[in-house]
Amino acid sequence: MMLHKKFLTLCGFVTFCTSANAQKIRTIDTEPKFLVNGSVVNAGTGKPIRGIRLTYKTFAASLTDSSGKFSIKLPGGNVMLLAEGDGYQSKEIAVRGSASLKIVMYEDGFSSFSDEIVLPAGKLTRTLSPYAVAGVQVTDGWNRYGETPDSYLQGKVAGLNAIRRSGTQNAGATLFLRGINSLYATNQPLIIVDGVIFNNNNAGGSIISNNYTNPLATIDVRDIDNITVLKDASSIYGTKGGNGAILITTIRAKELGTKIDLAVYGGFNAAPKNLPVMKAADYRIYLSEILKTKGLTDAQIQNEPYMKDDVNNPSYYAYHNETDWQKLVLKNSATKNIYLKVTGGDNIAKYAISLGFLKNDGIIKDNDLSKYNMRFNGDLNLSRRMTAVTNLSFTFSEQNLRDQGNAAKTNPLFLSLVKAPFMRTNEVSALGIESPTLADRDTLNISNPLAIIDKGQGLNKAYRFLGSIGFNYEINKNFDLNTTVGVIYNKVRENFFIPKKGVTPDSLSTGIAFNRLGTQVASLFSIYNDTRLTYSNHFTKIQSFTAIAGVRFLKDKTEQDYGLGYNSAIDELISVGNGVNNLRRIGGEIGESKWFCTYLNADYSYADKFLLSAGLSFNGSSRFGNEISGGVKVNSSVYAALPSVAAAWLISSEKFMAGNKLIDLLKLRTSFGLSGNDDIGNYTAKQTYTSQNLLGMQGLVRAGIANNQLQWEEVNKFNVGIDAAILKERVQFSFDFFNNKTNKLIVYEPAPSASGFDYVVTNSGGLKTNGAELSLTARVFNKKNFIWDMGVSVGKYTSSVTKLPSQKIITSFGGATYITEVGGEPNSFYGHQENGVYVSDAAAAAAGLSIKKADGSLVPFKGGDMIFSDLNGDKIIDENDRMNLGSPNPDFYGSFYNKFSYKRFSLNTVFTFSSGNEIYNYTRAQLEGMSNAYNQTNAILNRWKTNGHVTDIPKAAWGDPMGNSRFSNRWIEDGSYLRLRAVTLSYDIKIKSKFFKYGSVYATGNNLFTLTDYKGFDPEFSATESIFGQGVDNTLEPQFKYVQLGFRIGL
Amino acid sequence: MYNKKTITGLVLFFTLVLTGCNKWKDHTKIGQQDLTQNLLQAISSNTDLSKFKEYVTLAGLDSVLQASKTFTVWAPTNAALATIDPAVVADKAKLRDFIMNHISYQLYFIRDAAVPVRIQMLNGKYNNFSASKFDEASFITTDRYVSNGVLHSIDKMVPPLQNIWDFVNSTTSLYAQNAYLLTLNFLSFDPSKAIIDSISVINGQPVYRPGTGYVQRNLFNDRVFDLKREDMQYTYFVMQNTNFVVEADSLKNYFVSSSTAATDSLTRWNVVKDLAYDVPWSTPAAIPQPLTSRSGVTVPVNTAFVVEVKKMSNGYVYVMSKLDVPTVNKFLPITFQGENPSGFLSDRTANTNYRVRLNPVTGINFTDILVSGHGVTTYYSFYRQSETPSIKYKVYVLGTNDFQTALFSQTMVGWNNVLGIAQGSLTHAVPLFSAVGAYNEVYLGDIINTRYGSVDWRLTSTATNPIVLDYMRLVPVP
Repeated sequence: MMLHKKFLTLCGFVTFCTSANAQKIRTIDTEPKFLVNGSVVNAGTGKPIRGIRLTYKTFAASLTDSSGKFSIKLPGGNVMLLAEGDGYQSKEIAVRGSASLKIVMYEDGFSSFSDEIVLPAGKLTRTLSPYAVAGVQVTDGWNRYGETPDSYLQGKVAGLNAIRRSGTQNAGATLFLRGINSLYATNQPLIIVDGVIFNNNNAGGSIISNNYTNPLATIDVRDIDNITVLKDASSIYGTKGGNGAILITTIRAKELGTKIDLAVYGGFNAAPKNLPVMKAADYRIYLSEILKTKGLTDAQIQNEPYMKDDVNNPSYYAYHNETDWQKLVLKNSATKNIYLKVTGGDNIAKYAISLGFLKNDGIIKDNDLSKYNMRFNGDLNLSRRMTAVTNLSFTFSEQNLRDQGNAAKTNPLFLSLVKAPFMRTNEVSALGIESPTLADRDTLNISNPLAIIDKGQGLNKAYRFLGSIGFNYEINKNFDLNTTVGVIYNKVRENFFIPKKGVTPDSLSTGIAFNRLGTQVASLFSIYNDTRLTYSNHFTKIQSFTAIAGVRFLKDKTEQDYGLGYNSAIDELISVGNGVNNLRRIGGEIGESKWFCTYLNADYSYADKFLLSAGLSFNGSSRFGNEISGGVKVNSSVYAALPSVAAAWLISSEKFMAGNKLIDLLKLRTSFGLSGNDDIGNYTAKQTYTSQNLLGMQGLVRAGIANNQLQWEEVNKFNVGIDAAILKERVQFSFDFFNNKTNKLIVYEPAPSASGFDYVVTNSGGLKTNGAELSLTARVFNKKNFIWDMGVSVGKYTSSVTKLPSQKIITSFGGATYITEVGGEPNSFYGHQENGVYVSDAAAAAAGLSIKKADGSLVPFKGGDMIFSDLNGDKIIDENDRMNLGSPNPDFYGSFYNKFSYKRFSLNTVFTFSSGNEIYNYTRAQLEGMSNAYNQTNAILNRWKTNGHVTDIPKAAWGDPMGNSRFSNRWIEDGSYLRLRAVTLSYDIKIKSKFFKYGSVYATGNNLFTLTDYKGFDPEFSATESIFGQGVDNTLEPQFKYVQLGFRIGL
Repeated sequence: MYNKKTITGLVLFFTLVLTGCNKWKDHTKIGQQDLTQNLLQAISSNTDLSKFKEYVTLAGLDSVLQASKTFTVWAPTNAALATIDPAVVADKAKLRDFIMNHISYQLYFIRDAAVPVRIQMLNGKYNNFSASKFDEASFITTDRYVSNGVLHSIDKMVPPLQNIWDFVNSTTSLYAQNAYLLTLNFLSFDPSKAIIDSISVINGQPVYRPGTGYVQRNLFNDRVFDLKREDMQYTYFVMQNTNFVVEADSLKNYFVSSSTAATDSLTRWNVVKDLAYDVPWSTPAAIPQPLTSRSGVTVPVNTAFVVEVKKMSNGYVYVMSKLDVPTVNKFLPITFQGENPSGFLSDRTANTNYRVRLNPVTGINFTDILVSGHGVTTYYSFYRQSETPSIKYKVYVLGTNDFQTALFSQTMVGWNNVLGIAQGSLTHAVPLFSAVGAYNEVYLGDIINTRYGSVDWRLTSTATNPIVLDYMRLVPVP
């Protein structure tokens, strides 16, 4: 009821505005028509262009003649002309009251503010949008076939920090649009594909360690026509738009004639360069030292089989080798891809069909991906007033994977680093004759990585169907009724098997796991409807007004079921049913959520000079608690009312700019609005129960404290920006400053101990992020045969926590510790500060620091231990001596590109960079921690030996009793990098055949070089979606160099 | 103009690429020159160790010092090696042994020897290492660490020594005592050293190849100290022949046996068993007075009779002109607890009580044995003493009647198993618990054992009376 009232109020407001304007318009209407004469020339050659269409909305139109001349009658001198022509980038020209115009036009594909972008309310050019939006015209998709849409976006949009998750195919990227808005809810922007909300959650996670089934991988980049990134305050997506939105528009037939594009590619993936771990000789020396600190006597050490150098010793050949494990696990590999696109149709129905097949072998031995995708997009004119669009896509992928990340016993890459180089891959006889059987785990209890690869299994089969159908009914000239229904069905099936032979057993709570088996099925069903009434009108020909009222409904249903088995009788029985009964674990999760959103949006423009946009949405969700204090209450349900407003002023369209030859476009814009984040858990607000096993008895216990006041996080967004194009559009730039403030931030608030729970989820935090971003493009060289474009985009943000229910929150991930405290960044690394190594026992004694053991006794540091800062001055190094060690958030990040065209050749280079982000090098902490039998890097050859040895590597000590390898700045590294992300050389073939219309060949090199001081395989990775987990290098499959060659022909 | 830009760009590009590659190079750069060398190179680079290097090569140990293990080398300087026995240099095996006595596995820095440690050398011998000394040598240079170990240089050579057992074996003609020790050698079967031919189909036991699995052992090594062990340190006293015989013969009366030879062997054993100690006393002055041997005998060592002190690889040998242990020290009192009998006349388990009782005088618990209602005439429990010398024993017992009002007597009999006769019997009335001194031990009298060997001390009583005993104490009187 209340909703209804508000709507009426708004309608009234709109009517008032329009009538007020209508009075003004009458005075303008009496002005004489404005005649403009002009000419259009090619920017490169300076020659006049014939056949350029010049239009002003639906009111005026003209064509240039052979000398490029035109004349057009406009309703006034303060409007914007649109110039369009085949092969040319369309352009908006502010008339600014001048009767004679000289228009310079660039070739098609030239980056311009006149590019069309797709906004929630409809299509628009960037010139006419008051919002901070970025449009990506996907023109280079054809030579970037290995990318997923999220990784493709890396470096494309200022302010969008896409961090690729790993080097695994399809893994995609974690997206941070304008930094951090939430601690525990998602920070990923909303994805809309062809008007349908695209559920981008990796529901249920994977049973293969650190694997990520990326839903966006189901969209082929070549199927995308353009991507619009909505960065600021639009409230139109309500409680789903808190992190901004990315709108993906897929291919449509643009012409009626049948057009066939076929592309065939082949590629080469280069295995990453080895990390410099020790060879057998140095390793054995290290091992003999570390074993001594374990307490083994000299005789026991000499009695180990690897220490006996007598060839006649039966185990000689098993322990005297020089095995480069990394070379055995990391492999060069090949890719192949074929893609077909057909577009065409008639004036009743148009279609765009695509088919693709990809086979991409990974850089981890035997890892691969096969992907099949197809799409059918149709546009139908059902009647004079009724049109329909359909979008159907189906993708199936099958991927062979192995554990990654923190899985020390089963991650082949990690094992290849730490496994003793003197071990052998296969069993070997006393006489040195090698068996085809792979060797078992070794005497040092380290798995054989090849056993996991060759005898294990990790299979991920995923498919996704996304179908939508939309109808548009034109009620009359001003009113349109539109509805879109979308359905997503997604299923991911995973199986894994870890063999017994060759792998270190794992301990379970009730047994030892030798071989491990698992299966999981995760499914998602999502149904979406968006129905809206659009009113649009032009008043006095220089004002336009559009208003939309609509409702959206989204229902997501997820189900995840898994079974884990252990200890099947033999390694050949790999399905989960073969596990031992009493160790089997079966579980799963069902999630369901509903979202209902009513929205209103109004856009007004005056003389294409003043732009105003306002929106309001009411959001109801099954996730919200029913006792929320804020919001709008309707029938005992609370709705989030989120308004927004945006305004822009095109200064360049003002008359006083008429004489200005320098500035083509100058626009100031600002926006402010509220949006929300409803990723608060499907059932967190409700009282739930969970099953628990107690000594073999199964029962139900409360799963937490229901918080019936739980609500959406509220993100206040403020943005002010400037868009400018100068020197006949040769230089264009946008600069934005933003300030996002999250209120009602979800926090895991510590619960009183009497409650029996550790925490309760509440909306008791606050967070703010401000930042700036700049994008600049320039045509440096513009000659007939040679064109050089370049561009830069840079983003920067600073986040700080403004409110927390407790003093600080400490979070751990993969050996790293993060601190969240008021005034600081939300995810700063929190650890000890080291200042080198005590040169001698005397130096350590002089410092007088100790650690406290569990029994309360003090153990002093000695020579060769790390010097940790004693921050609280109590002479004891403990967790109270930790400090902020920097954060994984970059100081600034972005990209720059150069694009050269010479005749039919073009060379395109894209560099991406990130600066000032810190990384916790977990991998190096394992490879230089010197606390066990893991092989280490060559750096530890400098380990402290005895009094007087000046070095920065401490002594080797089994089990690291003094905590020398604890989480400290010793493992925090600068993750800054500059990477040649992609370089593409393409050549358009001259085709004389009638059959072929055109053809081109491509060669693309990806990640060809990376400049970084980071000591790991690669500085770019994202082990988790959460902000607590960014910047932790937990030995994921790294980024690698790959080269692709391909050709494309058009029929 | 373009070219210039391109070239500048390229130069910049490659500089950046190269610096990028250097991140690991810098990080893994070996910080100290020495850590790129191995021990052999380190020894070679020190001119003061040229002789040692020469001998290392001569002994064929140069490859060892380049191996990828860790070693500690205590290298004698050229000056220290000047006096090396030419016979050692001439014999490769001896030279190898000599050099190996200066090298150990693992790293031993001066820091590790703050508390002196004993380290096994490559030849199996142990040397002492302290912050200031390696065996008897002092350090010239210390703690030079290289890739595969650490190098100290020392001012004296440390030749390998024989161990005490080698000394015993090599001096049998000189010392009757040592000759006697070797008579205690015997062969024993060690299944772990035997070769298994097959597994018996009858009982599933392994069938060993005949003649394999026999190892020579020695009673002295088994029962006193294993003087072969290199990882321990001992002091061994060897008496010159005259005194040894005198010492042994002084015990003759107490080991009356079937033959003179057997008696001689027994007396000698009872002398030598008190002559080895697991503490290395490097000088006579260091020997504490008196010593207590492993078998509990108090041994006064008169250092005036020390003829010679010999340093061995695992301790010291003292050659004594006289080492007189008073006969009274040789025989120790023995106590049998009543509740730990060796056996009974017959099975009366149901009548046998192992009791925990309270001594009302001291307030302390004691355990005893009580057999009552057994119904067997002169029922007894016995307490066996093997290797009983032929000597007079004073017999003390403690047993209290706290279980019945009827009074009774019990008898202690010394039954010599070799002779098959009783050596005497002593009867006493068991005091009622309420009697004065009921919880004091009672001296019963003396029993003289006339023949060395196994003796059963029988506790019996008249008719079918019960027997009760807290303990029995036998004090030998030589």
